[in-house]
Amino acid sequence: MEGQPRVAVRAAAWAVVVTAVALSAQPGSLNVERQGDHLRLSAPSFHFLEGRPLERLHNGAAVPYLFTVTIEPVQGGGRTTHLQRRFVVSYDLWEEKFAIVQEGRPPRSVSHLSAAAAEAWCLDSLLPGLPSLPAEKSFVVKLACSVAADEEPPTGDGLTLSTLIEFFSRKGAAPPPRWELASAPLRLADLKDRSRR
Amino acid sequence: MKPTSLLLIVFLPLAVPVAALGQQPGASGAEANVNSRYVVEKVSLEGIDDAAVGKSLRADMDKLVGQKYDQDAVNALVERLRKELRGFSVDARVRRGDTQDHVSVVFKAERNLNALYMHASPLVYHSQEAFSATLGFAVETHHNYASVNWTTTADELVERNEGWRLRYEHRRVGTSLVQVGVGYDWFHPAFLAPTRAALALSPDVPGVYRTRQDFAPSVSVLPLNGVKFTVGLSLQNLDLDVPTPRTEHAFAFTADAQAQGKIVAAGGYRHAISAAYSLRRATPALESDFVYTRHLFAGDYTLTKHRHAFLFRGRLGTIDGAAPLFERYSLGNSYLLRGWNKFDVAPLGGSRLAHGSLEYRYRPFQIFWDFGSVWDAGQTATVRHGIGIGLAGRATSVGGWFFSLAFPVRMNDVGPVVMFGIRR
Repeated sequence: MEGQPRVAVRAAAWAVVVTAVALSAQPGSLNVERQGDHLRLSAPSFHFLEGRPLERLHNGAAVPYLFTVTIEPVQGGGRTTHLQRRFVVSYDLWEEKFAIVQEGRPPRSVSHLSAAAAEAWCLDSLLPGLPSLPAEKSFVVKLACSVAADEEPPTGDGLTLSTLIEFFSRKGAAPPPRWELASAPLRLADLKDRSRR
Repeated sequence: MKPTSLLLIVFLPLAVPVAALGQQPGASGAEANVNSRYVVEKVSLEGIDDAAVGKSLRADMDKLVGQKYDQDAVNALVERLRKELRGFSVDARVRRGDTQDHVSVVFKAERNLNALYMHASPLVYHSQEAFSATLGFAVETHHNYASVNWTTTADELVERNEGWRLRYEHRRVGTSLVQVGVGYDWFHPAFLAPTRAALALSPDVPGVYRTRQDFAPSVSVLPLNGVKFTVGLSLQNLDLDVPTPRTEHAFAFTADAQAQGKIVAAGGYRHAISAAYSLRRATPALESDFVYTRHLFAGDYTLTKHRHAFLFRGRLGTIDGAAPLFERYSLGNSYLLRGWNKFDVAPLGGSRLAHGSLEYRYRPFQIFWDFGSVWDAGQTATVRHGIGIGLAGRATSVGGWFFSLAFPVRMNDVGPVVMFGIRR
């Protein structure tokens, strides 16, 4: 009989591990609120100013980020909508603060932001429109964020043996970083309008 | 109201939307970079010698100084560096400057740990020696470097050296300060009539050989940046036909020291200095058939300011003992005593060498004066002079290019020597 508690503890431990692995495989969580005719997105635990892009920013480069918001009905029947926004982030080497330019007509810009504030500003600026779905219909909001890859302009050498050798001896470039988030299933009827508070 | 004012009033409202149509919807990365308001105070290159970069590119890099930081301009220079520096990856980093609101730009080159590249240098034409060429491949992976080269050159020794050169180096033995290497060369030399005729009159000089093989293991230490010491062995087998077919050995200890440095002084003056010493000692202790000691000192100095460059090169060498022909010094090629034919200077080379060269360059234009002598111990040295003009640059990824016209300074037969090619 002494073995049963040990088996239970072991099973619980496995359950915790499996749950943790399952959770880590899921996209991060995206909070969605309604603000008038738009959705306002936030994700306090989502950080895209990290890793290699952050290293490039600290090296004085401007890094373009592409955000794609997808609003998808849960059980079909409705239209999936997409929204894309591009932000160019740079890091002020003297003030040690981030600056962002949101491309568009006209472009919007902000500066003197901490990393967390810069990330929040980008998400806050997305503002996708409300989905054209019945109020009782469930939908999911997905957010993808990626860094535009460095462009390699043609060298102008033409096709020579040297350029071929150079080309084939290059290490495979690492894919540009990409992050994905998704909300829980939502219904317009459940979303409180923040602008009316 | 003036007609021009009327035109402005009519067309100005139209001009604004037209100008707006030409704009992109958003700012490019460079325009959006908050650091573009800072002034560049310094530009530097790390990870590779400045000399590996062409002068025009280096000049364009220096033009960033004093300007507002422009990411597009920096990216364009990074691309040009990537083109010039085969086998290297290049990146740019911007740092705070020493002065408020200034930044410094660092171009950082790193040798690719996994790279395959082709050598095609030197490729030289000399109107008295015809073509000399070296072609081959090199592979570099995780501090291991291996190369295979085929060469045919009459530009180094008395003989035309034709054959294969294989080399392997491990460039990090526990630490990057220590390297080991081994080379194997196989040559089928060709000796021309002037050398053979001179040999008949010089019984003290060892004769010609049909093939030459060299096995050369070595260990190098790099205690400081720009300083390298190498010790090793050169185990050479020479196949001779005359007077009887046989193989003779030239087994030697070798020691080399190299140092180079650069100084950027006030007023835009750049000083580049390099010095090298090479010792080869063939001794009975290694069961060598040839017994000799060979010393060679070489020094180069370059002073550069803007587009002007002044170069001085000097070489001194001596051989004690009976060294085989490939060890003897020769003058009269595309870089030593230019303008002369090596067979007119010394068809057998010599055991003593003294050579100097003064050169002035403005952009690609060059004018030079070479002087020197090779002679044997006990003989009187005859100093010869060569002068020339030409074009030179470093516009290729395999080395610097040149096109020179040189004349021997003597009373008769002052026909020009034409030389062109590329050389690292």
